[in-house]
Amino acid sequence: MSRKKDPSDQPFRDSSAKVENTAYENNEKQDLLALKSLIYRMPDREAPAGLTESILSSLEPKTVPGWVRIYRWALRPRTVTFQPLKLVPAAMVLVLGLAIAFQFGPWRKDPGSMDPRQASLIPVTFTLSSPEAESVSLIGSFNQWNPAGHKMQQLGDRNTWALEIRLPEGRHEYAFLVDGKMVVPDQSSPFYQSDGFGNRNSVLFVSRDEPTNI
Amino acid sequence: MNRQIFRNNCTLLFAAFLVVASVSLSYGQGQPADQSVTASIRAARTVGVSETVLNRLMSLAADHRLEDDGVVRLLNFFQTVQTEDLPIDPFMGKIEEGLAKQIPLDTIAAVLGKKLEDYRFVRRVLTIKTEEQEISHQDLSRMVGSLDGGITREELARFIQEASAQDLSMLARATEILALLKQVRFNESLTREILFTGLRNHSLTQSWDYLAKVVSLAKHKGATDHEIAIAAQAALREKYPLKEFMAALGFTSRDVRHGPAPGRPNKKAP
Repeated sequence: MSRKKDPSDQPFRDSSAKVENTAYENNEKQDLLALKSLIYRMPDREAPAGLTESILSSLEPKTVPGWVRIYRWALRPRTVTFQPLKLVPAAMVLVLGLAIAFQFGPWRKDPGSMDPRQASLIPVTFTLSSPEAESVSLIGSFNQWNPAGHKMQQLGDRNTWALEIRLPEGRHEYAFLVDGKMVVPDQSSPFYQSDGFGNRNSVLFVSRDEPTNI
Repeated sequence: MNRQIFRNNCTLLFAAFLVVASVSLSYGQGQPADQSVTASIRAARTVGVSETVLNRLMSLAADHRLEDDGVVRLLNFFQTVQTEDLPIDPFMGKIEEGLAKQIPLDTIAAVLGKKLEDYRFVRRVLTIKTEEQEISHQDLSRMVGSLDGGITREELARFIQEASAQDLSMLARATEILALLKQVRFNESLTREILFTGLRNHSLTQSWDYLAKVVSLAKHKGATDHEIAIAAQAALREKYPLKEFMAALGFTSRDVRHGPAPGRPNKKAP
């Protein structure tokens, strides 16, 4: 049979628990004081010789892989401070070093050496006398008759237009395109070919063996 | 009032109909042209027409400087060239040349047609002469080129008929030289003697490609046609290269790495 709980019992029970706790704490304090005085009264004793070394030697060194150390080093934030004026000599040395490297380095292109395909080509200078022309381009079988990239330069006398290009040995047809619309053959060339459109193309023979005098 | 509104609506409807009809009509006309250009490009690419030529034609068509129909006609031309097993390069070169010289498409097409006829003519003459002998595209083109160099079809046919045709490569070289020597007004009967000597002796080799140039310079320096012909025939009988002929005329050969300008001797050259 259960007894009905009386709310008036609760304060009484709480106060008795508090009294019990206080007594327990007092006892504990007394024990601690006794222990303290006992420790004070104990004689001092030195640690055995070599204790530290024996402990350290018994510990195995912890090895970290190199890449982990590099990774950690790379991840660690750093602050760099510098004075711009002090960087000037370093920059000069860097520029000088690069210049020397490009001048004498292994990747420097030897001016004497040439692409074999280029070396097999023969330089030919085309000239046209046309003082009234605004622009002159060289078109021919060697550039698929495309005037782009083959514009002739006006020489100092303002009458002559000239362009030097490299051509393979053999026979080539060509003409001058004056002011982008007028087709003019090379009057100094003895050979020609009808272009079918009502004009003549000049014919040029490029050869390494060239007759010079008779 | 109602009649006025009805009349305005009818006018608007009629205008809308006209707009729709004209747009449909132009779309209907444009669509097949675009499709035929695309198909022609694809076909031309298949037979080996270069991307350079195609790009050039397309860019001009895009700028409305060429009509689509004209582009299609030019590109379809290559189908014929391929069907007849003719070299494509001379025809491509002629299109490029015509475009660079701003020649109208109709004229370019006409020139291509004439060139095609020249090829057919030369092949026909060669077939009669050589029967089964195969001729390379390069040699065929050289012979056709001689027709643009100033000799007529009749002259070419007669020369081919009279010449020895053991080696078609030499025969092609001979026809080219025939045209070039005519341009520098070298005696025609002496020209034939020189070339026939070379063909008979099988000595008209590659170095003789420059014969006309040497002859031109020799004439310019005062040598007579007769002197030149004697020296050339002597060298050809002995199967010498062109250098020997040059030496007989008193020429020296040199490396022309640094010159000369065509038609204008480079005085600074070593």
